[in-house]
Amino acid sequence: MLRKLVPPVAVHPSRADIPTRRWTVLAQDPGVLGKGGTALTTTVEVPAERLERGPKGHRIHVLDYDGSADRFYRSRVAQPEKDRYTKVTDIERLVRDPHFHQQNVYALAMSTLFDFERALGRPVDWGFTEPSHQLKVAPHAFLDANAYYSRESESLNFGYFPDDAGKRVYTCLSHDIVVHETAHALLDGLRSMYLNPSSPDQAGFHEGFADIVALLSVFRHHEIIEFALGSVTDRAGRVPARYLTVEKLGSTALGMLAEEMGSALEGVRGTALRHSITIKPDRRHYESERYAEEHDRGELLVAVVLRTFLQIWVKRLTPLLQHAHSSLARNVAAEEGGTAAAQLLNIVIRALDYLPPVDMTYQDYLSALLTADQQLYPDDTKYHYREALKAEFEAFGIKPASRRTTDGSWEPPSTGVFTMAGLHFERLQRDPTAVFRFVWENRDALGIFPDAFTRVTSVRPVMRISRDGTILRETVAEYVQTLRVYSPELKSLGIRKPTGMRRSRMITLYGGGTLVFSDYGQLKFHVGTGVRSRRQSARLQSLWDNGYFEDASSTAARVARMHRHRALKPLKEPREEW
Amino acid sequence: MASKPTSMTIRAYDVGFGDCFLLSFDYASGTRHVLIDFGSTRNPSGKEGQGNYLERIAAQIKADCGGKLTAVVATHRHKDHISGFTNTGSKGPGAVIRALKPEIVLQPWTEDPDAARDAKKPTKGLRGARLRRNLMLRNLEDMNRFAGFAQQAASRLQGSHLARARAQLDFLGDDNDLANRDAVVNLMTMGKRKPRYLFAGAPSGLESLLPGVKVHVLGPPTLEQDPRIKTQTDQQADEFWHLRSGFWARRGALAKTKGALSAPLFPRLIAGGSAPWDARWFRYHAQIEQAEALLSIVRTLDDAMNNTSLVLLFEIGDTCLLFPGDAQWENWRYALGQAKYQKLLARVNVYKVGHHGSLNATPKTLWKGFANKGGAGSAHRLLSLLSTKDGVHGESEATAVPRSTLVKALKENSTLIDTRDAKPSELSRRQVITL
Repeated sequence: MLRKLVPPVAVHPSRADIPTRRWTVLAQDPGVLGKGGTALTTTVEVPAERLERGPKGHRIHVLDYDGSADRFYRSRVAQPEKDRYTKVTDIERLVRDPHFHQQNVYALAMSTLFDFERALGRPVDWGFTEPSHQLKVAPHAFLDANAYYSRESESLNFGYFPDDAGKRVYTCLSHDIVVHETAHALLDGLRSMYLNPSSPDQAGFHEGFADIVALLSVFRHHEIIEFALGSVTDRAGRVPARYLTVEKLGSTALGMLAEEMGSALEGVRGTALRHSITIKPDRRHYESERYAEEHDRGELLVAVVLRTFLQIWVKRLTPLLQHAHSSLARNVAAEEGGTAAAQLLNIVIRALDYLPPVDMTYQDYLSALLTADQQLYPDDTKYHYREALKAEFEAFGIKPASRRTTDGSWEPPSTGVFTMAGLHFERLQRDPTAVFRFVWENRDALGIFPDAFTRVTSVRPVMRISRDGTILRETVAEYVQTLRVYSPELKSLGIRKPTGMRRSRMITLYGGGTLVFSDYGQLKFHVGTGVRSRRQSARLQSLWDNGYFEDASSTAARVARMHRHRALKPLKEPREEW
Repeated sequence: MASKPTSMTIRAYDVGFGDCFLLSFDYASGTRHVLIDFGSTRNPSGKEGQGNYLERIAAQIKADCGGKLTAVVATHRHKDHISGFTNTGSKGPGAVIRALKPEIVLQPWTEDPDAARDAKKPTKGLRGARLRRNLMLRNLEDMNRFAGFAQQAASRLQGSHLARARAQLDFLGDDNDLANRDAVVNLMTMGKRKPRYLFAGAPSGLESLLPGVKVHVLGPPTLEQDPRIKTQTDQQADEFWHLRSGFWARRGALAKTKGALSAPLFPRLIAGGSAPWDARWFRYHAQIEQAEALLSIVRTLDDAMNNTSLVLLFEIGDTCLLFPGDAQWENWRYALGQAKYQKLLARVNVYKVGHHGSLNATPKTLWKGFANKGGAGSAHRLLSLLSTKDGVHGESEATAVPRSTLVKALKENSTLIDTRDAKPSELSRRQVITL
């Protein structure tokens, strides 16, 4: 009897001693095809874990439930660890095969998680309300042109819908959409307050960041870059040097991808790439009304990072062109583009650890990017990545939040002002109570408002390894502060009450900080914003102006709405409701 | 010929969840009647089972207007405002109204069939105002289609955890569905004169029909009157409408696809039996989320349709009557931003409460501006008309229609005529006004 209860041990086709395996996925979507109309596939690296039907692994559980039809679709039972699509070139076969859809979402979500964990140097948890390890992924979740992440149902949900010709479009087959939704889930795990209403920057960041991760994830596959360079490649398979500039690569390579990517997905949301590449650098953009709306603001961030990507790509091509003179082999140019995308992807993810837990701005993000890169790669003399980042952000009007250092990175707090009384480094690396003791003892040095409710939300020991073998050990902890006050009380805190707000309204002010400790337990960085910060007036005013001061809806509803509103761009202002 | 009416009667018919008002202007030469809206999605409580209730109301209207209407106003195409105009094979309440031979029918500009025909042509090569108008009218069509789809989808939602979303989807889907087509056609053709499709600032067409009564059109604004347009370049505005239109076209296409909901995606892979053990928790939560997501799209289109409402202000000497249909903020903000309308609005003596008393159809600026509101016994006290039914629209205390805080303010600061107070034997509530 007992034997029946014990599930049969899965056969591991992969070797247990090799920690990862590569799985086939679509390089972009079924509309982006290779030579002769064949499927353009690539592979992504995922951990070589035990898998069950689904595929279901230790972090991702593909659950093929279709809510519109209230049906479950079966997954492959035999050898779920095996990639059966390594040699398939017929795109129609892949589109028709739901088992491939299941593999595509599993591999893309898992590899995105893997990217985050590698970049951050530690395991990354999901942001679910109850601690839970497996993100559910429904590749055919509902009949509609949308896809969303949900904290409440701990899942990613991908819709399907008929295109103009009546042919079914599956959003789960779009590389960028799957990665975009996974990035929402990961960002929510790392910064759960970022889905709350706040400044326009924060509102734009979730969507902009998810787009950036998605686009860079796609671009790092040389197959896609080679495809993108198709129109400027000569018969000998070489790209003339005149096309290898920031402007030309932007208009030809990215322009071509923008045309091809997601042409069937119009109406799912605005196509990030198509809009972002049309935004030309202008120092007035960041402050201008034109980019004040959250979705426009998200696209502005995408535009900045895409320009940086092109800069880095060109910087990497420059020494090669010195030898090759008038042209470069397409595969070589593509390889460098892929590397530039992969490295930039690492930086944009790693910067999350240097962002405040609440009320972030793009200026904070620039300082975080510069700090993240500087900490791991102090020597930037070869390709000048940080110079490129700083110059591109500034070209759109975004200056680093950290003004004291000349390079724009966060400034370390002055040494000697912090007490370590009652603290043990071992506990400080993993115990929220120990970190709270640190915050408690040092509240004046940290500049924390004493009457606000303060809690430490996470403590994570980190180990990052740079390309040159440098090991960086840090502990990253976050605390969040909340203070509930009536609107007339704002004045005593030095915060302006938005005009028109009634006196009986209760307001929650948020603050908080990220604490980065060195491997000696010394505080290296404190990146934070207080409940009394000067930003609060602007934040409250912006929330009031946008008409959504309170948002009791679920994250699922917020993310789904965020996507819809990219196309609908509804009017946002106080609606004078009863 | 009488130059000015001396008194008038307002009737608020008890149509349950809907609107139906008859304004009867008394001239020395006789009485002239204007019917504003006639529709319902839920019969009034206690009157649910009374045969074809709207036909009874139609007969009552016929009696009240003595067999002749001067004008019919259909504020917007929601079922709860126009279902009474349904005229299937020369039957139904709409046939009765048609026989009252209205001189003219007034509707918002978004109902103009010429514009709609124009919108059906390819937009290729079009730019600017004409393109945007076309795209917006297409959106309205797609929204109607999608509403029908949402209603179908709602009927598939099983289980008590989905009951609330199902009820709301069914209600809003039904209200926005194209099933009102008969009523729309009837409205288009029942007037003796050419129908008028109005926008803010347009002449009403009632000038010669109602001497001594100035009828101001305060909404809906045209796209050019939308303050947002002023901050956009032509290209941005085009892009904005293209994006929107893409969104609704997608949904419209979904609704048009046969078997979209019923045909399984992968027939050979449908798992039989009950849900897998490790999927039940997810199924439960996913169902709620998806129903909510659908509902939220339907709410968006419902709001958009409300905002096409015709907003009319009748000025007769010192008396001003305001009939705003279901206009919400996006519609109101234009008129409230114009000094000349602000002055008129301050003088309002009779206010038809917007959108059956919902939380967002009586902007606070409008309410605060009414100079005639005041406690019981105050001179020239504001009269408000509320046509509604409890427990139909809205999911919670905060979103319930009518909104309790608004009703409280109406009771405290105006004389409230509420169709919910109609006796079982009463088909309408009446108020006579001396002018």
